[in-house]
Amino acid sequence: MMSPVPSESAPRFEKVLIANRGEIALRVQRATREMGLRTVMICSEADRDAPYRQAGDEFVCIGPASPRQSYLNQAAVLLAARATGAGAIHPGYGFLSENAAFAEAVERAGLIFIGPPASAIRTMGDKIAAKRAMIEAGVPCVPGPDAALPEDLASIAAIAEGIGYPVIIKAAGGGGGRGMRVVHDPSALGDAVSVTREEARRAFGRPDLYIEKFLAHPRHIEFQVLCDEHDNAVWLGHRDCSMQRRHQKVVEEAPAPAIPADIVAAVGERCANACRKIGYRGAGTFEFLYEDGAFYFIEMNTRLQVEHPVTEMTSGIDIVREQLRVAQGLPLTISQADVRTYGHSFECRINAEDPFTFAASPGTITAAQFPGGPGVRVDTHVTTGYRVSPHYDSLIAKLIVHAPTREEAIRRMRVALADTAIDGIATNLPLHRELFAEPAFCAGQTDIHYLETWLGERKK
Amino acid sequence: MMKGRKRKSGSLTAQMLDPATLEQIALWLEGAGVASIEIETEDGRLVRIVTGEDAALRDAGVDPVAAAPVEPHSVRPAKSQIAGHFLPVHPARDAAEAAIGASVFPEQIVGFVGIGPLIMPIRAEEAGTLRACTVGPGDLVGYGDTVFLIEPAQ
Repeated sequence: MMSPVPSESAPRFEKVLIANRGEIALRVQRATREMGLRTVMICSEADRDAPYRQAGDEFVCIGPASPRQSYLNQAAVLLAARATGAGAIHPGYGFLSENAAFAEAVERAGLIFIGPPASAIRTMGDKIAAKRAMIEAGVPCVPGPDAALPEDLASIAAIAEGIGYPVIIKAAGGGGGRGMRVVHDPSALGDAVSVTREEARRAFGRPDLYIEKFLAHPRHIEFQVLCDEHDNAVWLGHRDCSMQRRHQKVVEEAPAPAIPADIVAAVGERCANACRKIGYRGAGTFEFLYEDGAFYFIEMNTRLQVEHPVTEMTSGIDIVREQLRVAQGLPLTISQADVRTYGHSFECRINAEDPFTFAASPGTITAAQFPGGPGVRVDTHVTTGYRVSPHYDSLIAKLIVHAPTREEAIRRMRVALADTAIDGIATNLPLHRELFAEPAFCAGQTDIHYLETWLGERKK
Repeated sequence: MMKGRKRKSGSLTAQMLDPATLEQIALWLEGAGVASIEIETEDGRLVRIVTGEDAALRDAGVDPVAAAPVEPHSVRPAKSQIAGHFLPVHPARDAAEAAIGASVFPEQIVGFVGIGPLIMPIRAEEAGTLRACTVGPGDLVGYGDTVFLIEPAQ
């Protein structure tokens, strides 16, 4: 149902609590301040001396270093919002951003959750319900039933035969590469089902599984959407996030190379339509596998993505600003006709980790130097002297470039990587430098297995 | 009203701690719209000067002006366990649980943190003498923030 458009002069909230840390907390804070809103940054004891503490209006510690006792502690976040008089909570990504119960708790507390309705988070968090919703909305899905697997193995085997091997068994409550197993022939089906079911029970609190056709060499392509309360939904182009290691994205780019524009446009429109059908609000991402000219929906992320900057660079739209406007009840500033993507953008995730073993590398950064110049953006919270905590994700910076063509963007990224230096800890900068010199990657000839294969050969 | 925090590298003389001098400084600050300032001296003394209505605290037994000299290494903190606003006195009571200079015992409540209607205690971790309050009434404090300094009992 459409809501009346509130007046910009009478906003729903004037102060935003940012329930996150690191680069995304700073990213959200900047957009919030640009809109003339006041900000509250929260932190754990480990982040007490974060450099961004000086940037916002208020900065308050809510708990010990352990994420469970701080950034994942719903009560502590809500009490901090109450204590500081925040009218809205932006969850960033990770932590509480896709927690439907938290979104509900925020609304119950009389605050605005800067994200989709809890019902949409819940639907999309259940992979079976999400798939059903997408099929109803006409979004192409991976072959396989939109229902949980039955208990008896004979029925499961019949379903697998119907789909055709190889198949993949997935936990309905899973995501991020956890709780899934590929089955290449019938003899391995029984073990795969029982192990995945037990894993799902332990990791996600529910044993429901589903089954899909396993695509052998797909690319990971995703569509960014933005929706408001007034039945407006737009898609802002697509991204290729195929460069993954253990399901963790390492490099992202927009647009995805070499996919015909008419196919992209058709899927993008269906994503926007699906959002209208499910009453979606705010920013979201539809993730697809793409193989042999066809898209297959895998999941929807009901939050801001780490890689949102590449879409911002090609579309010129500040996604966080639009999130804030939508949460104020305002309509999107753009219609689909206004969306014009230009050029090519890459993002390298700079992680505090060994570039060969990928072991986390916490410690103090003794010197940090980041690049600049036209078409270069660095989203980071670290500076010289910053101590990388062992308690959190190892992402310390996102290096983003934009140029008129993919080839120029690659050259720009090579220079940007060469101009980046982080001393005192190990980072994956050497990996990125090698990757941007790799012919197949530079030619756009990759799939989701490319990076792991390349890493395997590199080790030899 | 502004709240100021001043770090002074020079020495703070005994004359400046004279009540009449402090009173005069407080009047100047109030006239300038400053609610409170803290002066930390080279020898580890922490002096908070509170003006206007905040000065009513002194009547409640928490007298930041009268903060006793504290050697930084000889004190232990009493910390807030939650994010909220510092309350030197429980809203339902007339006086503070412990005045500056008073002896406190382990787990004794020395102040409060308020989050709307929720009032959470700040407790002394060990026995000693309450030496100083490091924040002002109504200030936002977070988890683990030092609110009081306690000189441990010998």
